[in-house]
Amino acid sequence: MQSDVLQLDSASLFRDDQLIFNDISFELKSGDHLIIKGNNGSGKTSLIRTLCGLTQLTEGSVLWNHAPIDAISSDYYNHLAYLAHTNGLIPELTLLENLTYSLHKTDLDKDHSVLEGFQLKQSIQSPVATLSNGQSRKAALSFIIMSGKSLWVFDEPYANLDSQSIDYLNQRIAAHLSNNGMVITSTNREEVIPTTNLEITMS
Amino acid sequence: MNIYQQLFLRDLKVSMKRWSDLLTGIIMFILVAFIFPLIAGSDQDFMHRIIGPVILLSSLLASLISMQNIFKPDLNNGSLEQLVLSTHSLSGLVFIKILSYWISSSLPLVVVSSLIASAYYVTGIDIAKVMLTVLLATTTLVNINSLAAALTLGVRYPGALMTLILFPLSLPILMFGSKAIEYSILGMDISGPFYFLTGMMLLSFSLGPIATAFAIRISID
Amino acid sequence: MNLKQIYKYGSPPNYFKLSLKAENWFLIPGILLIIVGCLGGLFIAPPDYQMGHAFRIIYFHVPSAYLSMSAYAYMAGAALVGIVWRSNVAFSVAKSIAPFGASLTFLALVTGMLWGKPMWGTAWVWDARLTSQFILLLLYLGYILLHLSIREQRKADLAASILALTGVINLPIIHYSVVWWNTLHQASTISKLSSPSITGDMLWPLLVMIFGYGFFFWGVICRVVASEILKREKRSKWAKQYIKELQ
Repeated sequence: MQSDVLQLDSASLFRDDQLIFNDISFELKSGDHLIIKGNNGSGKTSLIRTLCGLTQLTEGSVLWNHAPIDAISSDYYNHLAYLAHTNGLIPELTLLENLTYSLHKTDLDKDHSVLEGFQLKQSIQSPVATLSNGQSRKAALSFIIMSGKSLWVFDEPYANLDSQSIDYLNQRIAAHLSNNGMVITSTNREEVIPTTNLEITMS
Repeated sequence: MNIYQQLFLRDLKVSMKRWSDLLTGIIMFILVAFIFPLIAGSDQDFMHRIIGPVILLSSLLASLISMQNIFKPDLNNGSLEQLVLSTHSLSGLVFIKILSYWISSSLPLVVVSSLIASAYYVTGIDIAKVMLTVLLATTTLVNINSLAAALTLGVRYPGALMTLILFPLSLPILMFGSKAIEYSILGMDISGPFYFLTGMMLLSFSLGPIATAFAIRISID
Repeated sequence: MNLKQIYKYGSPPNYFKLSLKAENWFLIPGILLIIVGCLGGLFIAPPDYQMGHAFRIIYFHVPSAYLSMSAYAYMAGAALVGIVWRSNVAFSVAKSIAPFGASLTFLALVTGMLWGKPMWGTAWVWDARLTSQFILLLLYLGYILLHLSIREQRKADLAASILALTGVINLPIIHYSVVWWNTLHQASTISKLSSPSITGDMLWPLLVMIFGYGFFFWGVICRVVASEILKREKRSKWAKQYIKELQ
């Protein structure tokens, strides 16, 4: 089984003169789950965005299989699925339409189970704008899960989720990890997420 | 169905749902063209002289007022970021976005310009020439608009910037476009202005998406 | 100058020191040339047959106009270097040129209008060159405003550079569109603003002024670029050292 590795190498981020984070390093291998903890405004989202290549680091680099992600972005994005604060769903389209036109490769027949697990099956024909915050969040999560990508990056996925959905999400994460996937999660709460084996605390 | 076709259909579908945004530009186009004869005089010779500039100016103002609709909604709902994170070339995806935006925002203008042309006492084949001018001119305008929109994505009150960026860059299109319409009505040879408009269309559709994609990456940073 | 030297001067501390050293090498010749040019243009050159003494405004108008256009080209060039090599130095140069280029354009417009008033009775004419100058002013202002509107300096640099490059590609297109437009509209004033056959006595002060403006401009830019570089690099060791030495 091939093992991928994501490395962050002495990364620092300055925005103009403001220090966001300084000298962070980690190594994430297949089967690892990294959790990034910190209060609001501690730089979690900025760190995650640099891992996705959306924000440029001031110092240091992000390496995927020992190559900087700037050089191999197409290959890296083949493995990356990212959930931001916004859901990435188009509110005017229905959930089904979002799936159909989704830019992740999805196999609708195989993965209906995810939508059932999040109790979204019945809302599949509703425009996303009519769903509640929690439901939209769950829909966005299910897109990531159904995408078939190996590295999942979640920015505060547990916000707006009821406890049943939180359990289901943890189940799916565990299944993904045992399937040689990698997960990065950020959270501002103190809860313990069972599957994590790496931790970074932002200050 | 490959990803470009998917994105194209998705964006078309979404702009149909956001029809009230599209209406802004079309209404601006109609009203500006309508107001001119009302306030400036409506004898036939005069209207034949001003129809070129009026139609081009109306197109410009219509595009200006709806400029933020190109990328802002997608930035707000997060789908723009997902586009940047796609394995496919962002320039290609942006090209598709601009193309579908042109179809949904400018093709109606082409149709409406035929009505305006006849209201301005233009007859026969000349109306088709007016429509063709609007078709060609708006292709370049939409690319300039996309670039300006992408550059000002992160700016809170981009009004002055949008205008300042848009006007100088679109000046040649306005000049040659109104000349094309004027020549059409006078029955003169229109090939010169039309070659220019076509050339600008090709230039802007080849460089525009690349520059716009770059600007999107910067604004999202 | 080989490649290694170019890379060496591309680094902020070296360019900073080079700029400060070069400043006087530009400023002093510039001021001298301008003084000589003014003397030549305002006093020595004979009054024009048609226009009398009023033509002397060209000694201020033409250098401003030429320099405003070449400054935009320099700005776009620096912007390109900045984007390709991600060079803070290049971005500093581009950002510094902009307000001065805009001022030169404004000066060209004002002197153009001052020339127009006694000549044709109207301050503004819609001829190719004045209109192009106005468009150039808009392009400069757009660049400056974009820089001001984006809070994070690195993003502002990149975004404004794209605008500068788009502008420089469009500048010839815009200019020749306006020229073409004016030839169609037979404005009788076109030929007046184009340089007529000009005698040697009138020509040399003009050339001197053009060079004088150029040198002076670059002298001023040297210092502005230096301060911009210092501002951007103020967290680095060499900058802190330099500031400490100043005090």
